[in-house]
Amino acid sequence: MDILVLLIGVISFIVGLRVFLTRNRVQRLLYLCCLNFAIAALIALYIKSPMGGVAAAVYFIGSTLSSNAIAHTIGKVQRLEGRG
Amino acid sequence: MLVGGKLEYLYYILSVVTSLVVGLVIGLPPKVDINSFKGNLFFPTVFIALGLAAVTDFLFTLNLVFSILVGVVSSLFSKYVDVIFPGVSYGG
Amino acid sequence: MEVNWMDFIKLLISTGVCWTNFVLVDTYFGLPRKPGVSGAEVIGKTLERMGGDINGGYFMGNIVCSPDASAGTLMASIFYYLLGFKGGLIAALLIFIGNRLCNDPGYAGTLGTFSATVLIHLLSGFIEPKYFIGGMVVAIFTIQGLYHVGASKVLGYIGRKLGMI
Repeated sequence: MDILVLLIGVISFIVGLRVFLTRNRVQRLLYLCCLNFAIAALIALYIKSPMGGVAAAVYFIGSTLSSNAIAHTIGKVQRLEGRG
Repeated sequence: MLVGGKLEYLYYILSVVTSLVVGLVIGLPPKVDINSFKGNLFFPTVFIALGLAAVTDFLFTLNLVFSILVGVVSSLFSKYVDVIFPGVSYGG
Repeated sequence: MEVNWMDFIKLLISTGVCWTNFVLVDTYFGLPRKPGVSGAEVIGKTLERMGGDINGGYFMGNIVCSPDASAGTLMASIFYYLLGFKGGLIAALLIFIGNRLCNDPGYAGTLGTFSATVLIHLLSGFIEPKYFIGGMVVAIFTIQGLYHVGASKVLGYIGRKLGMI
């Protein structure tokens, strides 16, 4: 196995574990962002073809779009509850 | 040396130059404002021209007609970029 | 498994290059100055309540909410690894579209992708492009995955040192 694939796998395992362990919803969003980076890199390293690059880009932009929507919703909810 | 063949490298420069010239003709503003969603002479134009030229090179082949066409299309795209990709509204 | 020490040196250098590239480009285009959407504001205020720096928190929130120069550096290294220099140009186009979908004018992402492509091309005689993919993942792990309060303090210090806040 390639040393880079192993390193990225270890990093994504650590970050994925911390997503489950942390209690703070905002910090969970930050860990998920790091996990998305690692998964996009793994997609490109496993599928060594131009379509793999397109798949990684589409996955990454789509996941960022959903993170954007989730963060915006958290902001709206905190403003409605009067805490933000 | 940059992208393989020497002639291919000239086609990229040709499409960038074409996009700048057409952008001047159709009246794109030359002032760069990094907070605005409107296009100007340099910002999306140059990168759209380079990216579309690379896509064309990868899918078909890059010749004189295609590189001039890419330049025209990218400057028109930059003129109407705030209509094609406006800022997102989050439903009130 | 055979471990070569040259691999670690290349990985360390590419991590430094990627970190410097995306932090400098993002700071120059004003990510620590203001939150782009209201979610980034919540992230900054939460990190400030935990003892961090609010401007570094805005920086981290903006990375989560939009594909900025950090995503641009990753995509540039992926596309350079798969398609060569032309791939970096395609990556800049894709990142521009992604930026516009996420309510961002797109200067930081596009220029960060282009500068990362040029840096990878200049260093490609010594470091192969696949090390930059691993280097970018390690660089984003040091900011978003290791210790958030300390990372926000470092990012706020850099932004204040460069006079961009």
